[in-house]
Amino acid sequence: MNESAKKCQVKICQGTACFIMGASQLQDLAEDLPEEYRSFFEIVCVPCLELCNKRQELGQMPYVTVDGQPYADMTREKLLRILQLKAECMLR
Amino acid sequence: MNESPLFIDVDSYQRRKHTEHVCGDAFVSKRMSAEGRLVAVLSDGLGSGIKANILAQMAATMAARFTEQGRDPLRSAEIIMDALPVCKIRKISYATFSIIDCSLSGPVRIVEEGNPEFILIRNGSAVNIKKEILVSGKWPDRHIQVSQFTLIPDDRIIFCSDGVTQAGLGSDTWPLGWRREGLITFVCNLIEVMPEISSRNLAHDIVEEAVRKEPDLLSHDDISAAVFHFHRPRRLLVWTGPPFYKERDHEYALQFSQFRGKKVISGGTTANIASRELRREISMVSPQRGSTVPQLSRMGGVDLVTEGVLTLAKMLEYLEEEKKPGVRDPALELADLLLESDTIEFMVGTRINEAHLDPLLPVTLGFRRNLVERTARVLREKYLKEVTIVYI
Repeated sequence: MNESAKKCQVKICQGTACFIMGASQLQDLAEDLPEEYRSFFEIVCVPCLELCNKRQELGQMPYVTVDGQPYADMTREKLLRILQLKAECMLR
Repeated sequence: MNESPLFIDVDSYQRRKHTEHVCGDAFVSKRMSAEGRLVAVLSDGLGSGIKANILAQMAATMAARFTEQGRDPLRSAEIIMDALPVCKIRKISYATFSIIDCSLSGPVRIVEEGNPEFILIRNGSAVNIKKEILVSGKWPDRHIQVSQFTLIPDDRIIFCSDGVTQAGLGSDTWPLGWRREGLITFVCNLIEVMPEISSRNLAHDIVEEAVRKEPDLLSHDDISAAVFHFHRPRRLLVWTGPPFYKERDHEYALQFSQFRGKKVISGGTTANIASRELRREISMVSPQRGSTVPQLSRMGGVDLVTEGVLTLAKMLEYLEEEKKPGVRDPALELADLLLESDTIEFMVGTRINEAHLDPLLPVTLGFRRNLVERTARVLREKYLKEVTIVYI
């Protein structure tokens, strides 16, 4: 990826409900990203995304945002798949 | 929120004789906040183990109760000595005692029988206090020593059982034991290097240093120390939970930032409010392997930022059960900060997060309010802290 290209911002909620619903398993996700894709993303954990009051429309915890786009009911496998697809788009 | 002018930081630490299951020394203390007064007793039961512990507990409890009631020290000592049996051969009491009765305004009275004499550290060195010797007509061989003086800010008083002063007795390095003089030197050196050392840490260091002088590093007697530090209170404010009325977020964030003392935020939403209203960046630290609670965050001007109810519940467990986890997790960081403080103020937001009530959650989350109230109770009763709670 071009070094000057903006990295994709990934925020993983570590709020109380998200943590016990599985966000604790997402904390070190970057380790499982293919090495060639790691520089595409800035992955951070945040104290709370305050999305749980929108769970009727979004779905269940845990929540992640990718460049501001919220995703619900996130698992490690799902998030890796999302980021892989995102990386492939960024390469095109 | 009230500010106390002065505070008595009191804590103790003990190591039982290595061949026993229970320490034969006992320490009891009671803070009477309304009177600005503290009463505490250290007692050493004759021998060691469970029998000694029972005797020490009896003596300490009786002594504390009589002192609290303002009874004459000689008469109180006689009642205690009457109640406890005396060894027929050695003619010594089955339990010693050191009693302190002190107030925030300064006057203090110390009554001792059988324990090593107390140590007063003032301005970095030990100060001798004149003692009055009381002799009971019923117990002419038992001398009660009474000391009365006035404390000044930053004074420290140390009680210990003879397990401390006799540590290493008979060894090549310490043939006469550590002795009171050795203990004084150690304490003064420690205070010079760490003038802010808490009573908790000082009591711990005294006992552990005594153990280091014992043969094979095993405690050959019960070893106890209690420390009383008279000083300006170390204040802590813990903000947990968003305010009930969202329009007051800014007001409470400002109040939080202006608090004079250490500051903690416990809760992701709370941290976001503080970050937004005070215009401060917040970032999470790297996750810790083995931790069962979310990792810490960092925010300028805040000493500790943790997640909310999971961390509070785990912290309460550490305080109640005095157990430490395998890893130093955020809950332990929070517990330590509470124990290093003298006056603790909780600012508890009452806005409910409905997501915490979702029946699909795999664990039942405690209510924040209940957790804080239980924490306040254990801090007051077990650790003698001054705690206030404000609901916002």
